[in-house]
Amino acid sequence: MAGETIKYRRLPGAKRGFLHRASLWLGDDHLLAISGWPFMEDYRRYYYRDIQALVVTRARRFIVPRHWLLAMLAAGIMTAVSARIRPPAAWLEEGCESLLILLAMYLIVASLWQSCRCRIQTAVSREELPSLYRMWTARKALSILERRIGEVQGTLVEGWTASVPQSLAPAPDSAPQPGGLPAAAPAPGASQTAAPPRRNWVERALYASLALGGAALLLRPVGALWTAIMVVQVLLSIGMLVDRHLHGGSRSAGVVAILAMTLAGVVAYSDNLLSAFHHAQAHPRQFTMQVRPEDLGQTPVLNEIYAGGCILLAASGALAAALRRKE
Amino acid sequence: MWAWGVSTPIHCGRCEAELPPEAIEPRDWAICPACSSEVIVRAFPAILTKPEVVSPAAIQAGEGEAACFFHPGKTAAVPCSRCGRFLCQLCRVEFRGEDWCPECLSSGIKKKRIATLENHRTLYDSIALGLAILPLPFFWPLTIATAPAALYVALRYWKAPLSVVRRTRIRFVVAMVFAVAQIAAWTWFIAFAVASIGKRV
Repeated sequence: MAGETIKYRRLPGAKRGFLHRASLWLGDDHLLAISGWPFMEDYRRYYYRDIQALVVTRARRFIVPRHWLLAMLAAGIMTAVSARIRPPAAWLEEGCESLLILLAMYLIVASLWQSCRCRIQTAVSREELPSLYRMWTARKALSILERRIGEVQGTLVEGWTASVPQSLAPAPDSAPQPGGLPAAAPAPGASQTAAPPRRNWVERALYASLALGGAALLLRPVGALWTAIMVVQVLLSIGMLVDRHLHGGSRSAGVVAILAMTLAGVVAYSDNLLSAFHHAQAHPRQFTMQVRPEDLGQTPVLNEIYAGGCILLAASGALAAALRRKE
Repeated sequence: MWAWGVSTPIHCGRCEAELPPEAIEPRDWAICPACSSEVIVRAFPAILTKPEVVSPAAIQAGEGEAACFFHPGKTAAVPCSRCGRFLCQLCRVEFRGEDWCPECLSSGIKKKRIATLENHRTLYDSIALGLAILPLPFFWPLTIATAPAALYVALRYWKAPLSVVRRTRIRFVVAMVFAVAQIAAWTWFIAFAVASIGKRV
C-alpha cells in the first residue's frame, strides 16, 4: 500500500491567486479537488459513483488570476520605463498603456458577464469548486466530467424528472432537511415580496453627465472641457459597474457604462494619434506623441463623434430605464 | 425524500433555493425561480439512489451464527479484506471495492499508507524553493540565513512525499543550486572582507 501512485489528469480551470490556489484533477475513480496556499495543499476527493449533480450558476466574481496580475504589473513597469527613456519611446509607452487598459477592461467584462460559481453535490455534501469561476472553463470541465461520471453511473434519460415518483406531501420550507444540509435561505438579492424599485443615483448621474457633456462639446469644444467630461464619465461608468456588481441592477445600465468607457478610450486614443500626426507634419524633425490636455478636442470630426455618441448613449440609457420602470 | 422524489434536492448556487424539475432537466441555461439567476444543472443517476437503511432487528445475531468482532450481539456480514475479522453491517466500511474494518482504515490513515485518504500535505519542495529564491528580489541580505535554511530543508525532506499530483523533485534541485550559490557568494564575500581588514591592520 505504501508508495501507491495514482495518475491524475488536470481538468481545465485553475484558480491561481496571489496566495490562494485551487485546481481539479481527474483520477481513475475519483475527482480530486486541490486547494491551498503556496506551501501546503488540502485535498478533497469526490468519487464518480457518488456525484449526484454539478450546478453552474452565473455570478459576478472579480477574481484577478496571478498571471494577469503579473501581466498588468509588467505593462505598468514597461510604461514607467519607456517614459524615462531619452529620447522618449512614445510608441512603447502608448502601447503599454493601451495594453494595461485592455487588460483592465477584460477583467471587468469577464468578471461581470462571464463568471460563475460551480458546485458539486453528493448525498452528504454540497461544495463549491473554486477553480471553476469562468464560464468557458466551467463548460469545458463540465463536459469532461459529465463524460467520466457517465461512464461510471450511466446517464439519466431525457424527461427523467417526470418519471420520478412524486412524494405525497410537499416539503415544508422551514422543515429540517435530511442529510444535515442547511435549509434553503432566501436569495440575498431576491425578494419574496415585491420590493419598491431602488433609485439608482449613479445611473442617473451617468446619463445626465453623458447628455450634458455631449451638449457642452457641441457648443464649445475646448481641450480642458473635453478632458474634464471624459474623466467624469469614466469615473461614473466605473461607479455604475461597481454598483451593479455589488447590488445587482439592470443590464442595460452596465452596457451603457461599458460603452461610455469604450467610447472615451477610443476617441482619446484616436485624438492622440491624430494630434501626433499633425505635430509630425508641422515639425518633421521633432516627432513626439506627448500631447497636452489643452491639445485634445481640436479635431472637429472626433469632437462631433464623441458628442453624438454621448448624447446617443444618454438617450438609449434613459429610454431603457423608462421601459424598465414601465414593466 | 423530497417534494418531487429525488434523494437530495439540488440547490441554486447563488440563492440556495431548491431548484424545481423544470430548472434541472434542460441541457442548457435555466432560470432559478427564486433569484432569477441563470443555472446549468447536470444531474446523474446517483441522485435517485435512496440511502440504504439497516433495521436493528435484521442484524441481531442468532444462535450458532457468526458474530461481528466489534459487536458480539450482531450477525457478521463480511470479513475484513485486510485483517479477516468478521464485521457486521455497521462496522463494514466499503473502500475501493473492498470491505475494511474501522481499525484497518484508521491505522492506514495514521501511518499515511493510504494515499487516497490523505487530505493534507505540506510542500517541502516549495518551502525550500521559496527560502532560496524569495529573499533575492525583496531583501537579499536575508539570504545569509535563508540559503542554509533552504539547503537544510531540501536535504532533510528530500524523501518526504511531494504533492499528490506533482512527481518530480526539480524544486528541491533548483533550491539546492540557488542555496549553494548564495552560500558560496557569502563565503567569498566574508573571506574577502576578512582579508581586506587583515591587510589594513
